[in-house]
Amino acid sequence: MCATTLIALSGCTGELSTIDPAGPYARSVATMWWIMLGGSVLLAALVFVILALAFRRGDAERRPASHKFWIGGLGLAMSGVVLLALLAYALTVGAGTLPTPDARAVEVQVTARQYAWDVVHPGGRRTENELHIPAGRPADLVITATDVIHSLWIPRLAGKMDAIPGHTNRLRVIADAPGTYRGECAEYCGVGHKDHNFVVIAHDAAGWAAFTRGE
Amino acid sequence: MIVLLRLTAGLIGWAAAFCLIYALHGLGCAGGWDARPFAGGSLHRWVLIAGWAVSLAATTAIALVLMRYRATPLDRAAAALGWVGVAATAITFVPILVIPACA
Amino acid sequence: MSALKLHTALTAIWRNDPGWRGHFRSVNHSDLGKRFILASFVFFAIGGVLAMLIRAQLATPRSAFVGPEVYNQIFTMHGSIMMFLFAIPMLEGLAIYLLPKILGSRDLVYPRLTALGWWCYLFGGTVIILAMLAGVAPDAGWFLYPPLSGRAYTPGINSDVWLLGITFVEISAMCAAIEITVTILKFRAPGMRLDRMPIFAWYMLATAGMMVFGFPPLILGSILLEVERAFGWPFYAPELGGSPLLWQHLFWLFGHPEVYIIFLPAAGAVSTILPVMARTRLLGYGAIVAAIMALAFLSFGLWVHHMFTTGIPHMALGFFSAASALVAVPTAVQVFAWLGTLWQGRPQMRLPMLYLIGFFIVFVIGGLTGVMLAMVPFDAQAHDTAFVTAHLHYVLVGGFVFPMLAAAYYWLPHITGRERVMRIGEAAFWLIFIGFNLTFFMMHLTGLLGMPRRIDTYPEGMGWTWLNLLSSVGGFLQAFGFALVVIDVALQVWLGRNHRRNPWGATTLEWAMPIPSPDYNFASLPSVDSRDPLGDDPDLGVKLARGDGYLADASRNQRETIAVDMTSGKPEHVAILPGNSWWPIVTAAIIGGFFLSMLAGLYVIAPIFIVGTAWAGWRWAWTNGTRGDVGPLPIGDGTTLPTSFEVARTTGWWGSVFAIAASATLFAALLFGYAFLWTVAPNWPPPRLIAPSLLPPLIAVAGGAVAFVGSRSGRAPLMLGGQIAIVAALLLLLMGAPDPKSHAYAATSAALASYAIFHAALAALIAAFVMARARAGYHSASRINEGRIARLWSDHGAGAGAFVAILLVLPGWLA
Repeated sequence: MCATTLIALSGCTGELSTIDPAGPYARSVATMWWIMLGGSVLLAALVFVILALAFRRGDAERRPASHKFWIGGLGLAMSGVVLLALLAYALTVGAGTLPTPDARAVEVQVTARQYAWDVVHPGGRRTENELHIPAGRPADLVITATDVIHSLWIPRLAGKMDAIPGHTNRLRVIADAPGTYRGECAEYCGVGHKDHNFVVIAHDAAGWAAFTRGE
Repeated sequence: MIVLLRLTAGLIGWAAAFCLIYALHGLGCAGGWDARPFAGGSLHRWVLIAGWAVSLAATTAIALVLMRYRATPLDRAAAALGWVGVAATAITFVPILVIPACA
Repeated sequence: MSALKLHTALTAIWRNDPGWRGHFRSVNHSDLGKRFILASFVFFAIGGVLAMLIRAQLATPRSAFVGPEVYNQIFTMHGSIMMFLFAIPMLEGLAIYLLPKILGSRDLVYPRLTALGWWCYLFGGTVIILAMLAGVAPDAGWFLYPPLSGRAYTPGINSDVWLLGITFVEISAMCAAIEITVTILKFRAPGMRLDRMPIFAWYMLATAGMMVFGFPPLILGSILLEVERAFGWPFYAPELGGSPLLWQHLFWLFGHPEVYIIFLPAAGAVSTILPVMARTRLLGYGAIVAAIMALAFLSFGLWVHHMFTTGIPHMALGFFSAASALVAVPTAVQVFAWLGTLWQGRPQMRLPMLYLIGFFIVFVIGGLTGVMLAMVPFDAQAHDTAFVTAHLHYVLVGGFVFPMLAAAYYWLPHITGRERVMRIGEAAFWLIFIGFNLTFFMMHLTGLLGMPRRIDTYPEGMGWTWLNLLSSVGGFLQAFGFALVVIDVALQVWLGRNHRRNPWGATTLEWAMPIPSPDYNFASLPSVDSRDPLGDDPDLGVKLARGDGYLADASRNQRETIAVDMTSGKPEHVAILPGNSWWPIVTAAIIGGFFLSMLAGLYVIAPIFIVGTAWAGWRWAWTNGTRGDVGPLPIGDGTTLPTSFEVARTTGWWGSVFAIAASATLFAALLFGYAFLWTVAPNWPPPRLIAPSLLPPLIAVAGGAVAFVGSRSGRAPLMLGGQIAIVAALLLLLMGAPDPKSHAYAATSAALASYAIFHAALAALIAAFVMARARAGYHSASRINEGRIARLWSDHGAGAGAFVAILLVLPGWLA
């Protein structure tokens, strides 16, 4: 009931919303979120119901609780099974987002600094605070920073990846459809952190060809 | 003192396994072992599997030794924790089998 | 002797000096525990005001309440104060106040060290707050990531305030950790076997053990960052072979165990209070002990879950994700053990129980979101957003603050000896509970909608506006609630009616004494043969006050308690404890001088304070011991026991064991750093290696061997000579090594050498000390424990020295 009220208050949609996915990776994570939320609600309800019942059972003498049931059954077995199942699911989802070799992928160099994003696209075209990718194809972002740690995040497309000076990280994003998406810096980087944003423009095939040609 | 060592032995086994396997993983990625083919997989994965097998054997041995002392409640807790060490070693390193090594 | 005569005589021995002198010289654990608790509440209030400023800033979009420079100090200080100046000292204070009583002892093992810890905490915390009032508070986030916190991007002293101030306060934490460990192992009532200890003691034993091994990586990381900032030695700077990731590893290697260090004592309070409220026994004592051990160890294998988005390979992330999921199992075991306890009991909704209900609800929600965050793909979206802020507050407020409020109301009658005045506590609970959920539940959604952490304002139209406003309203409700708690406590302290003993009907030993407690806790010490001593004999308190137990004897005019065998609880020796002293506050002031001179950039005079600390340590240690044999003392049941003067393995020896364990952990973390930078950091290999010489390692190994022979044969001059040789060898190595400022390799090598030099010098000082003590008549055939302690430090210095000398020339030889 709380959750639905909240959602009614603000909805799931938003330019930076992880629960309004626009790409397969964000979608698999959003699905996982709803499943985990459902499971959590059930487990929390179990605990709260037991808590409430423990108080309402009157003042008569009780039998000693069964060690095997409470500790072995609920504490160990139930929690163990739930956790292992969730872990297996999560490892599978995570493995599906890895930038394994893919002929259709394009590589884009992104360098973060206080407080802008410098992008070099395939073919050499450079932009600032604008990331151009082809829609429907994997875009491997090769990410680093020149000064302090930043983090590149396009919530509607994929999880985030830190931009660390001296290190290079790789993040694969895929946008389902052409359009404009928002990105932000997700690691506190100083006084300009809140304005350290960028846009992502996903082109259709023709648009991508035109962009890389320099038009 | 000894009973405290027995209480922690299983978990220390898991912790040692963690140090070993995490170190092997890091050294292997830095050394490019994941690009070296070996027996149908990569050298890196076989090294990790070997480390894991050694760890499972060691933690199992610890658990079996601990099972010989079961007189007091603390002895029994120590034996249980021995098996916790084995289970934790088994579960923690499952990613060796299902995740690419250095991606 | 009548109870009154015994009380008067013991009070004369155990009380503080009169007036202000007494305040500064007190080593009374009840006083010091209360000071820790009170001070931590004051810091909580300061942190709470900072939280209100945060919520005032974030209540509306495009806020101009404060600018980013000030806001960055506000949120950094909020986190730092809450974690380091509130949570840890609060649990230390509870342990310091409660442990001797609940274990059936008269004091902690090192009374003056407890006082040293108090003064270090007070001085360090004050420096940090003063810096905030002066506008130079740390502003790089409470985990202070470099390079942002480094000299290039934080040129002012803001980061130094954190690094030096927090490290000063952590001296207090390390002292408490070692003392609590040894106290639980050695100072218990005769007959209190390990499995008859109150469950709270198991929780504190695990917590203290985690502190011994968990704090050193933070201390190391802080030292390295401060040295990088002050002297330019690169550890974290990638241009010169360092890596910002090294800081993250070192910090979170501490940071994850830290949150379990905070949770476990609170869980201990729950395990203690819940069965009393439910009028039954705790379900599953053995399973809970096992769960505590599992949690303590597993929590050291989780730290990378704070770094899931740093680009570490997925397989490694998988290990940490699996371990993070596994750690939820022992937590679940405890939760269901508690629920089972309630189920088999007849719970009453008294005020502590109300706060425990709050704990259940809030902590379980926090635990569930924690499991979500343990899953890597979800964390890749939620990391560094308001979702994480929501999770951490649910587990910390739910898992620590609510149990501590329950504990406060549960033990307040013990501390004050009075009853509650009005039913304000219930109203406070509802304000806090409702306000808390209103503030933080919203943040789960704001995070999922993309709101990052640590932004000083946000734009309209993101779907965050209403949620933030509600969060801020909740903040005000919480503030009112906490204010009511303060008022409630103040009323009880000043206006409450005097209370009868044991208002809750509890069965643990702290209630077997008059309340408020006398300075000596127990007029005579109990013999224990179950987990519920007061349940077996409800009149135990009266009997002990009459002198029916052990050591009902004030005739020797010294502070005495019984030390037992760790496992069986059989009485082992009579510990003679020190009385009031100036040394704790004097030493804390000298240590403070070191930190202040470093903070002021007066690096030339800082070493003077190091020498001063060594001087104070020498004079302090000199007050121990006796100049003649004492012989065994009668303990009151017809038997005699040796005193701590004439036992080989004193509590001081055990303290050295754990101190060396902590130092070895710091060394291991440094070795990890060396290996990490070599394999992962950019710009390696270094331009120049340490030359492959033979002489320094040979001298070091020879010195180590001489010291080892000296330690086995008990000859201090050999230990002294061996350590001096090691220092000389390492200095020789350093003189030929590349400049530490040139590359992380040189800096780390110099750091390793510095560690070994420090320990060799310390071992040499201790060896010289025992030589002087022997000449002055403090040693004899039966008074041998100081020599045993010196051996421990010498062995460690010898081992570290030889190892480092060989390690440092190895790359040159292998190249």
